[in-house]
Amino acid sequence: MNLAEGVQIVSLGVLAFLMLATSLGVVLLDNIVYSAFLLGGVFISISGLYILLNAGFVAAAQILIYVGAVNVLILFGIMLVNKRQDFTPVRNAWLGKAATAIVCFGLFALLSTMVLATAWPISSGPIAGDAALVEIGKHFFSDYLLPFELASVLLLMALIGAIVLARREFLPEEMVDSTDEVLTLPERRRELTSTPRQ
Amino acid sequence: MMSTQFPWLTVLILLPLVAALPIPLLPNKYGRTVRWYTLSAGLIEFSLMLYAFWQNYDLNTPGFQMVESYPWIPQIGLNWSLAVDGLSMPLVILSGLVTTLALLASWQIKDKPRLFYCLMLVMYSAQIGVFAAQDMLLFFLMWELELVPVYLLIANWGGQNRLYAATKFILYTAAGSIFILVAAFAMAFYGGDFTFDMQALGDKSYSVAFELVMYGAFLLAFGVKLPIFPLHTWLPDAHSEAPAPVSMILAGVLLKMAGYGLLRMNMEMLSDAHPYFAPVLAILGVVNIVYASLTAFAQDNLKRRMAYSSIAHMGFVLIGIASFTTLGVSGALLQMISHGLIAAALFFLSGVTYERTHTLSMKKLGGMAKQMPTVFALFTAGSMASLALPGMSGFVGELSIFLGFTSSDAYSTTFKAVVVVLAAAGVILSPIYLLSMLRQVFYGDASEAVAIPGLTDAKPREAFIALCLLIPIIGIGLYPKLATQTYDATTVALTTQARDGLSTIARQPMLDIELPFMAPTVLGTEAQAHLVD
Amino acid sequence: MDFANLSAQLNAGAILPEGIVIITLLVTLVWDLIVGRSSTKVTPYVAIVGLLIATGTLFLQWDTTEPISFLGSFNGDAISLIFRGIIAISAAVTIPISIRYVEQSGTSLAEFITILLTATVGGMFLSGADELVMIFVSLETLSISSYLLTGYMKRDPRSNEAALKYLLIGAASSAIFLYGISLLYGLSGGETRLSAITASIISNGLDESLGLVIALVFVIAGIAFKIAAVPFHQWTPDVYEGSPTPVVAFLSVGSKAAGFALAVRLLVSAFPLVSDQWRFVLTALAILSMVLGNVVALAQTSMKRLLAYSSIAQAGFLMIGLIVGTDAGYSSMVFYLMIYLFMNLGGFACVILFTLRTGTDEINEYSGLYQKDPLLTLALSICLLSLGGIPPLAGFFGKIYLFWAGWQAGAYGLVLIGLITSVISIYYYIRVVKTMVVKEPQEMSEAVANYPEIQWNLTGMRPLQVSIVVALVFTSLAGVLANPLFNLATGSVSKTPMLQATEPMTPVVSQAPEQLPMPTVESVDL
Repeated sequence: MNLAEGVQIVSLGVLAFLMLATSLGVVLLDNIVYSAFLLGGVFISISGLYILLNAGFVAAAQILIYVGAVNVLILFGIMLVNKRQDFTPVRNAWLGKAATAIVCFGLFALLSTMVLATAWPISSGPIAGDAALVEIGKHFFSDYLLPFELASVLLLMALIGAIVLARREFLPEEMVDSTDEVLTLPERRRELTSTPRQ
Repeated sequence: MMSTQFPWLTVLILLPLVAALPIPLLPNKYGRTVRWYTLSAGLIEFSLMLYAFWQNYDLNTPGFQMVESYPWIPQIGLNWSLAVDGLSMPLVILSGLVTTLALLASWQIKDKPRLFYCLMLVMYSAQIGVFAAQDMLLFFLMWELELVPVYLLIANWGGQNRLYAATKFILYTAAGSIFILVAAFAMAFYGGDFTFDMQALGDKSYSVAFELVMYGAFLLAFGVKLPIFPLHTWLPDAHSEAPAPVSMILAGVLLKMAGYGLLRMNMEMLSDAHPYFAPVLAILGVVNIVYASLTAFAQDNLKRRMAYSSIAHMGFVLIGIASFTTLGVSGALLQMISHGLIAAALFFLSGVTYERTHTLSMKKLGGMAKQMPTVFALFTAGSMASLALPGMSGFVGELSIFLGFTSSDAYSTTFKAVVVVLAAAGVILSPIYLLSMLRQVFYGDASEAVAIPGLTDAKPREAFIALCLLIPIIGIGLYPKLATQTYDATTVALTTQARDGLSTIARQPMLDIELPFMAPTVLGTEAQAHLVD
Repeated sequence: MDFANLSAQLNAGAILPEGIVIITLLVTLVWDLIVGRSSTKVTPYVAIVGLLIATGTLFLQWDTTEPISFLGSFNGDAISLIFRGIIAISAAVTIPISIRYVEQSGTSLAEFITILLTATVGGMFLSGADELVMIFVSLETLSISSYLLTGYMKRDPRSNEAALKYLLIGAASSAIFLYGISLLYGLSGGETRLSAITASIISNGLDESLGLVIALVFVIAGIAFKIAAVPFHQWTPDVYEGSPTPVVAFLSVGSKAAGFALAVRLLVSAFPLVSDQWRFVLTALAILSMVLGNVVALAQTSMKRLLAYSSIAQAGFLMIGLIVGTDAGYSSMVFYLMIYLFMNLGGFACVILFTLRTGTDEINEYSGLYQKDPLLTLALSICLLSLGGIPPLAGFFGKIYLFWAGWQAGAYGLVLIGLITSVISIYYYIRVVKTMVVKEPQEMSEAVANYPEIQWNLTGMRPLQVSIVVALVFTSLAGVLANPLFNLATGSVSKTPMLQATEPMTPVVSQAPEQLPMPTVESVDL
């Protein structure tokens, strides 16, 4: 084992530990702000793994998108809403938690057995390294052209959808007076419906 | 070769359906236009039917006539193939007569008349379709087609408990009809060549075990409809809750669909399994007769009593089918026709009574004979026919079933004796419950429900309907050949085929099942020679 | 390199229908931007015309010989054509029934249509996607648009709840699905094209590995979520109840059809090595869906929830065709979907009309509707009875074909359960019919008693009326005159190489039915 390999193994261990610890923190901590920050930690450790795997572009994208955009957005959301709510503890909550834990560990055991038992075919080609960016670009404009283009439609629609959900509605004149019913389902709620006349 | 002939059966099936289409567009909400329109459609249909059979049906040919076959959906082998033979032709005419009279009897339907008449016409089509279909899938389609109209007719225009009765009816029948479809699939896919054609299915050679299973499936399906004890519980509810015209059709035609199915599928197509099941049929028939007669006696509701009497009468059909003699089988068919007429007449007359007194409880009725002599006379005539008074069709039917079964050489004497004695007990019970019904309803002093001022006797229209049903009843009773000649050729052929099955099994038993109750003599000898004529 | 050359190389013509839908979408959006709220007079019809043109183009591609396009990303074979057609038509029927509904709620119509068209594009691409990345991107296009549509009535807490539930469960199932296909990617040594995956897995010697089975299970979980098969159905009733009804109509038909298209393609071409296993899993799902869907539907009091459970049950019936895997099985599934499209959308159109008139969708409130609105009663009754499989309506023929195909392939148990559960289903469908038709005038519900006068001239009422009538006519006649549809369904299967190469579940009991000779009088003499 030379030095490079040693460093790799140690950093793998450190990254894995960080990832597990932060993600447990996300799930288990009560304060949602801490959870959100720890989520950033999860993303950063994952991108560290990508760097270890020589996938620099993916690592950069991971940090830019998940930490820079998604996580910051989540934090914004939490800070702007700024609503502290104390939840009454659910009785016998440990039962549900224990069941969840059992299922999760079972799944984990199954998946790790599968990962370890399978003789994964590992690509023997040269590692792309920094040229990966070019390769990815080529793929986007050859055999992955269609999904790449379709993603643009998806993004357009997501944009429109976000606007629709977020914007203030300017209602036509005739509807302003009945603001209760606007932007709701025409079906009344069940408790408001009548029963057949006897 | 068929293209030169006019497709009469197709026209007969489609005419009521097509006639039903413009009904929603007819004006008049109170039903006058609609009822005259529907009645004339029914009359045209019935007269076309008579004309078509008069012109094209040859009484002496046993096989299928007026055959039509057009591929409908060839991908699943569904063909629009129709034909009639001696088994179906009389029943087609019966359904034409009863349904047309039921349309005439629907005068009092004032509520949602357009829907009512639409559904009646759809039912008209479906009945003829069931009897004329020569394709198993088409048969199933027609069988199912009649479900929803009957449901809605009962649920909309029925009595107090109509929703319960209608739901029970549709669930029982739909569940029963699963077996028809399953059996149709199983038989069609059996062996190499795939077909739904009944003729071809009948000619296929199945293993006996397979035939037995199929026989059982059909028996269940038709047993619900016929009905056979203990699958009968829907019938008293449905018949007593349905409005009178619908009861007429239910008792007059729909029960016959099951009897027809038993003859067509079980006896004709599965003739190898028939010998194994025939004793079961006979026993079930006896159970039907005895159980239903006894239960009928305990009913207070007029229509429920008649519903149980229907069950009892259908028991005779089962015995006739089980008899292995021409006389018995043709008796079964005759019994079906005669019961169709009698039950229709009785249910119609009870409808007439109900319309005037608004009750069907016999305790509340009484002493109607003075005020309604015509109804009384007609009712008495119908009841006499129902209890098999000589000179009426019921007598001929039951007598030939008894004679056929007694003279059958297929069963041991003990078995025959037991069956006949028990069935005869049923025959004795029927006058008891029918005459007591007459006594309670018509004799004595007028009860409260009846003592309504202005209680009118039967109108000419009502008397006409009852007479239209009673005249054939008496006609057949006096001169049975009137009915028997329409199907004799076919029943002889059918019985021969059934006896073929019997003797084949007798010679080389394919299963390790002892034929129960079979006469040891016939099993050894050539059954053919003993054909009772 | 000029554009024509490029597009010929990519065989870009295969996605022309999707291109048309995308252009329609952009036109709708831009027109709304220019004209403002009054654009609603035009945009829906532009969208409908665009979708119909797209369907027409699909039809023109029927005889195409070169279905693979975009270097293997997309496969425009006959089965994809038919599924894309079903999805496009379901959107084309959903739009006219949604105009009035959206208008009345005060939300904007153009965006609604845009998002609906994006969902359609996603579903259409999903039907033809032949490569893992493409499958995932189009699946997400469909899903995310569906989440947006579900939450479209944004001030209604029910709509919000439905959208959130749908989003969370949908995202989880997408993640599971993604995990499954990433395993496939790994097992095949980096293949993403479906047609190449199996060969690579075999050459890597992994054809009996645990990984493949786990990939299969995860993929089925994702698909089952999309088609709402039990036990992945929990979202369905709540989402159906809380979403705008036209959206439910689209989800129950378009989205479900896309799910089935995905199931056929993915299972048949990527998992032939474990076909026994997936048939087994799907059989279990089908049985559960048929039994649970039909039984739970019995207890529903809300029409939308009833239709939700009914759609779960219908998915179970449809799966019979997929499980048996014969030609007849696939084509019966396609045939049933075509029929289901019209009868289900017709049913929803009627529910929408009733809701708009009375503001409720409780089944009780339908009592006595026959007295006030015979046309609506007739249309809803016909659609529901057809869903229940009553002859001579279209649904009867669809079910018969499915059961026929199932029996032909020897799936006796499935067919029996299907038959028994259809009898159960008749009960709850006819219960609604009974409520509408049977009730006497004095038992009429308040909603029906105050039934407003029909105003067909309001914006969006005409299209709703037209689509109800179209669905009614189709549902009544498509079964009786089913031959063209049957030919379309069988043709789509026999023209698809992918489906021809696979082996059916069990040796087929009999050959395809031969044309029967007409029985002659001579031949029937005994």
